[in-house]
Amino acid sequence: MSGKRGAVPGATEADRDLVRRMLEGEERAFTEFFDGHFSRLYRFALPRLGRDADAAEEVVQAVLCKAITAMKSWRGEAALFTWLCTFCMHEIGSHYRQSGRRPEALGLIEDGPAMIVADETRRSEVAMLVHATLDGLRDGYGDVLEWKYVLGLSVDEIAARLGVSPKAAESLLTRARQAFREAYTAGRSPR
Amino acid sequence: MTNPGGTPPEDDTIARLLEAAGPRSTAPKEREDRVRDAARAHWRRTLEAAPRRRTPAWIAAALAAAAVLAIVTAWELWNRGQRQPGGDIAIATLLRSEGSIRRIDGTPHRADGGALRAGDALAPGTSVETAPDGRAALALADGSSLRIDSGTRVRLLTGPTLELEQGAIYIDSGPGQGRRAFLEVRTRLGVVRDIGTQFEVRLTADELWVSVREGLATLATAGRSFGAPAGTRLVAGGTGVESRPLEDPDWSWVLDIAPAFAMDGKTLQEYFDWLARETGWRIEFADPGIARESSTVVLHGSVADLRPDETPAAVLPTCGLTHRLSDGTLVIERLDGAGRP
Repeated sequence: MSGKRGAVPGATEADRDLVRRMLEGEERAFTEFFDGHFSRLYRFALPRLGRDADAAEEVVQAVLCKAITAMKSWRGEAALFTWLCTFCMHEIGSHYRQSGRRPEALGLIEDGPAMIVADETRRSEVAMLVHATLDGLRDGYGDVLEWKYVLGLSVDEIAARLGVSPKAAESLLTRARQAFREAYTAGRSPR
Repeated sequence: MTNPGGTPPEDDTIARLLEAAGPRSTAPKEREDRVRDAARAHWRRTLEAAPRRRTPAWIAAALAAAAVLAIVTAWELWNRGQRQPGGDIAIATLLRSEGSIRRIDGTPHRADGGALRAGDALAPGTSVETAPDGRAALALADGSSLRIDSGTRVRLLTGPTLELEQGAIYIDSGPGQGRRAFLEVRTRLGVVRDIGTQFEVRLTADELWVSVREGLATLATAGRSFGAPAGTRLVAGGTGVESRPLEDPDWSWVLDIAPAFAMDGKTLQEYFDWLARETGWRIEFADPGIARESSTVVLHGSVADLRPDETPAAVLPTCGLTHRLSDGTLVIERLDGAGRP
């Protein structure tokens, strides 16, 4: 991810491979797609819907279904998750239009998942920013950082989870920290 | 998070930031399951609307002969047996049996002596008894698979609850997605509950064995609860409860009575998923292309007369594939000189 605010991360080879396998009907690809994006989208939608869990479920389901329908048109110009977030923003807008309600002091994100609602206490705001930043990282960086620093897994344990060598896991962590640093800094920049 | 490895201060800041933020929240499981089911159904409909790349119809000669026979699938059996003649909702349906089995449901003087046949629906309160030569496979109303070993008597109570009076049963409650209430097996020596798993409960004269093949089960006995993860066996008896590694488990009786896989029209990927679940094998592909293509290859014919572990030899060659089994891993390879499946 670029450190420049507003830059849109491009698709990775893993994203392209996943979409290709989804279009070919590979069951495992669907599982990877769902497991890799559902929770991130739900966390993306929930605060923007006033923490209405029913609405978040409805919106995320609509996002996934519409993205699946449109998947053939995905050209890989943006990361898959970023692409899904654009669907999510449309669905959230649609939800508010249909319900006749207005968003609560939202400050909705304009250009990426790493920015955040600023209507809560400072502490929870920081936590939300951290979580949104983790969700927006590509290549599984968010997961390895959480495993390391939140769950306390060792490098060896992370390597075992990923089926890679400890050296490769350490290298991945280094790249993940760099990506987090850049994305978090961009997300905190004054608008 | 501390800085035990002497990481640069900047990294330590990241560590403290992440630690303070705590783990990311997740949606409640039931919400996730609902969305997953809806999205998967939509994905499949989308795929079906697009032309399949290929739908080959290779059938091995042996399978072709078998395909001529009427194939009554488990689903058809289930539909046929959903409702009892008296109108009671069935809680189980017999899919398959071997040897002598009978039902005991309080009906006096049954003309058939309580004999059961495939497709029969069973009402709450019914007991099933297998003779020393008998075995049975049933589908429970919640979708779980119940297999009854020889010399067993088990009672089907209301809800996903069974009472094992003697012998052994095996339960496959599925991989855990979209789960309903946990299944419960009551015995005189304790109560076993599954948490999305495959496990056997065996009751001997003075011991209760809970052997877990996959997932996790719990045993509640004498006011205490014990967990049994995959690969372990809990033994409850007069001296308490002991946990032992499940060394060299024998699941052959489970394979012997496994319900048939309704193969006709299924994809090769669905076959692999079923095979892995029934046998416990890990499935690997020598060529990643095989994995990709397996979801578009449609199978025809029947393997109804084969044990799950016997089916690869019949199915794979018809797809231009072969296999080798090594340490519990089934490696799928292309046949020499064969094109793509």
